[in-house]
Amino acid sequence: MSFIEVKDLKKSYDGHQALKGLSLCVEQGSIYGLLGPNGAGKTTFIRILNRIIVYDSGQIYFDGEPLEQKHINRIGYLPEERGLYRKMKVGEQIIYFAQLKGLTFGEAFRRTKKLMKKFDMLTWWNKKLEELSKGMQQKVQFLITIIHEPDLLIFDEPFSGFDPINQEMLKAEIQELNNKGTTILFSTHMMASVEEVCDSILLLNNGQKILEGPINDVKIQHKQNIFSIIYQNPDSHFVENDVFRIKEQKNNNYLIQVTSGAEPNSLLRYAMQFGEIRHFEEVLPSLNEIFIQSVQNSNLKTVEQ
Amino acid sequence: MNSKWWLILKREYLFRVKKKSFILITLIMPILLASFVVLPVYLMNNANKKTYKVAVFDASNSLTFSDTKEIKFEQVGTNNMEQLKTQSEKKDYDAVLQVPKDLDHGEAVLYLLSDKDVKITDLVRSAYQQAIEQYRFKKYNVKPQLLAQIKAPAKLSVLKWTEKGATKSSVGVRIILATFGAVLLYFFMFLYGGLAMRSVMEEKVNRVVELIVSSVRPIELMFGKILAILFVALTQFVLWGVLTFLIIKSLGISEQNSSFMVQVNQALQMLKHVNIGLWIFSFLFFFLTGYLLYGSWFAAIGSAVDVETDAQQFVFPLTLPIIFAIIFMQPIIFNPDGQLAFWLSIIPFTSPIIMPVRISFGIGEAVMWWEYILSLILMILTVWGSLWATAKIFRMGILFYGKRPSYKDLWKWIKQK
Repeated sequence: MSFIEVKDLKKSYDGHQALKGLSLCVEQGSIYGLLGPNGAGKTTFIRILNRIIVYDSGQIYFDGEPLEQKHINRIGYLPEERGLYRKMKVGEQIIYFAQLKGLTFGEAFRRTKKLMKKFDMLTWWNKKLEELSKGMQQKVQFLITIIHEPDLLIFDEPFSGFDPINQEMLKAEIQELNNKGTTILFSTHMMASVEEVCDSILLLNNGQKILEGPINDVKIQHKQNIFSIIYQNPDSHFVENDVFRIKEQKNNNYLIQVTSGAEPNSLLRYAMQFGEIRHFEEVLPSLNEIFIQSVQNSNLKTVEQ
Repeated sequence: MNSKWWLILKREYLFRVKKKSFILITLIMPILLASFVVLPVYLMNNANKKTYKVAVFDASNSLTFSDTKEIKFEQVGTNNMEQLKTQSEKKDYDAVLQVPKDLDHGEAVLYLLSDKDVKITDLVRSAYQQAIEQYRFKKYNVKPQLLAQIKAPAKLSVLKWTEKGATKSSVGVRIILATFGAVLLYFFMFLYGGLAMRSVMEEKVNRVVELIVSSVRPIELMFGKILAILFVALTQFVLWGVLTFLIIKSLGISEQNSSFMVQVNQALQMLKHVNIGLWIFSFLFFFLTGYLLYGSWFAAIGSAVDVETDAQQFVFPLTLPIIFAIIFMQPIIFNPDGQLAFWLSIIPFTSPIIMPVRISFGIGEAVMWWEYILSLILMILTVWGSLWATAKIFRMGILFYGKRPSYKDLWKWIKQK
């Protein structure tokens, strides 16, 4: 079942079209990656989802209903540009933002206490935010994002600005929330950071969808028939022919490009004659490579048009 | 009440009134105000506990000086200035007065040890004047009572024709009322409107605003803030009033020994002739609408810029009408039913200051009822339109970073659906 469904969403600012008819589906309980270069329209889309800005046309469904103001209490949002009240005490501040997301004071207080205990932050309760280190402030910001136990969590460039320790904490915590059924939407231009966690991705460029789907499908669609072969014996040498070309070699470690529609098994059979094979694997492109290639292709298309 | 704008209002209000600067200004202002009232009275009552002693060498031998609580005169037989100076230095005398032989043409001389004895100079001067007058009464054979009768003030009472017959004119208290109201409204719109702007800017600059508008509608954020600062201002005014009153009371300035209090009582008596109910209504009406008008525009400016210096170019034109109104307040007080008064009290950006000024001089007199009603209606319409337009600017402005928006940008934001 899809938790977020978007149909033909359009938004322009001042003559510039930020979203040119975007459609997408985020499955309930999945981790969804919204990828794209800066200026692709990611933040515009996320702000529309949070009802911060209005859209020109299209439909958005939230958990089966047309998106309304009442739904924002069920969304947790970590904006790219983060900031809190510097002069406000930590405990008070988390409670305040929880109340803004619709919790009663009592409930907000109880959950703040519980979460601060879990993250070992109880001693900060009466400290002003500005008295905390940058890393601690990031933890407070994260707590505020999840305090109201939202059904949908939206992270805009989540890993920028977080130090490595907090990044790991963030990933683990997100994984845990996802296991409990929270749907998660990442928006980022740093592919490597989400490659390991996302179930599905959507690639956005110039306000348009370039490709989307489950991450493995996307990779298989973009595979370039490259195989990695490692021989047991350092003296074994692969000899290339018209079909099997050496793309890269490092001692007995080969990357082979298969040029025609040959099967992997035929490569394996061919390679076996040169020695004992220790490792054989198809090399799938990284998201980064797919991303760069697709964006370049789509930009090229735009120019041709 | 737990709606979201109420949460915004509560946080903003508590944050502002707990600030050190708020507490400081709230405490200092009454002390200043009270000292304006108390200090002159206090000085008058306590400064001249001392009785000055003046040595008089009267060469004419025909003057009588009358002693008072503050000054005593002692006739001395010697004209030896050296000796009198030494005696002065020994604190036997505070000053020495030398009266000439020929009282009609001669000149008396007062010898002092220091220039700072201003008080004693005044006292001696008036005592000498009195003594000379008595000498002249005798010389020209004039009875003092006769002179007093001649110099008795000619009584002139200023009356104003009304439907109920002639009543006492109250122009003095009306001027005070007009000035007081206008200055208060001026400060209120300027200072607290500016505070609304800075408050919005702070949240924009420290980037907390995106998190807030992902939880509440931008319009709730804007109104929450504007209303919070309205309450901050009211709190401050009430505290100023109460504290000033308490300070004056506790220093024991009661009605008998303060000429100021007598004046206040006289003014309060005169207020009976002013339609004070209407005046208070007008003041409160323009207080509220004026603040909403300027507060909403200040807040919109705060949302559109991210550095204080960029705000200046928008703040200047906005404050121009207020400054204009306060400059023309004086001429309007002297001519409250002129052309200038009429237009400035009708145009909504100046009317919050000028209409209360005119109302102080009486409805049906300085202001016609239709002018008054027209002014109120225009003000309500303008506030309504401003709130609508500024909410649109606010919604776009708070997420607009980087370059300084132009007037064209603001206009585009207003037009957006």
